[in-house]
Amino acid sequence: MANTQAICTSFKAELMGGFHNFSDANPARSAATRDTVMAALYLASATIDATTTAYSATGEVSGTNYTAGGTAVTMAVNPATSGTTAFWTPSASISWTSVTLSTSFDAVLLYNSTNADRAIAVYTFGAQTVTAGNFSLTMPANDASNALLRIA
Amino acid sequence: MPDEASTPLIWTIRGNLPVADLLYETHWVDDGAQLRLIETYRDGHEIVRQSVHVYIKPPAPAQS
Repeated sequence: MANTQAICTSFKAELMGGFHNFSDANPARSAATRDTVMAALYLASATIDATTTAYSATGEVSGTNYTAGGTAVTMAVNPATSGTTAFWTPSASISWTSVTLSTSFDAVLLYNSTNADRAIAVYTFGAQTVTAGNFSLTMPANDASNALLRIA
Repeated sequence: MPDEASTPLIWTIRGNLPVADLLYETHWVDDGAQLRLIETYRDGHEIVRQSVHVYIKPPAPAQS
C-alpha cells in the first residue's frame, strides 16, 4: 500500500458535471460562495491516489489536536487561466498547530466537504512524524506554471 | 539571574520546558517534489518536540 500524488480521476469528470465550485462568481450557483475544501492527512501505510473518489477516515492520521476530516483550506482566489492552462492554489498555507502525529504520514487529500466529500487531489511528501509541534504545507506560486492544481 | 516567570518555555510532549535546556536542530530535505524543514528539540536523546514544514513544489498538471 502506498499513497500516490495525483489529481483524482473522478474530479476531472465532476468538473464537467459542475460538482465543484472554486469561484465566488459562478452564475450557475444560487449563492456566490465557494465550496469548502478540506485537507486531510494520511498515513504512509494508506492508499490514496488517482482512484480515490471521496474522503474516507480509513488510513487518516490521528493524534493530539488533529481533528478527523482535517482542516479547511483558505480559498480567497478564483480559478484563473493563462494560455491554455487553468489553475488554482489555496491562498494560504495549510497548517496544523501543536499536534502530535506519532505514526508516519506522507500525504494530504484535498476534498470538497460541501459536495459529498468528493476527492479533488492527492499530494505526497516525505514520510514523517510530528511531536507536540506544527505541521505546515506551504503552497507554490499561483500561476500557470506553478499552481497546486493545474489543468493544461 | 532571570526568575522563573521570565524563563522562556516551549511546549513539548512533557509540557512546558525551558527552551534553553533543550537541543534545537534543523534539518532540510529536498527530495525533488517537495522541500522540507524539520525542527527538532531534544532533551538528551529524547525528541520532545518536532515540527515539519513542507514547501510543495509545482506538481504536474492534468494534461488535455
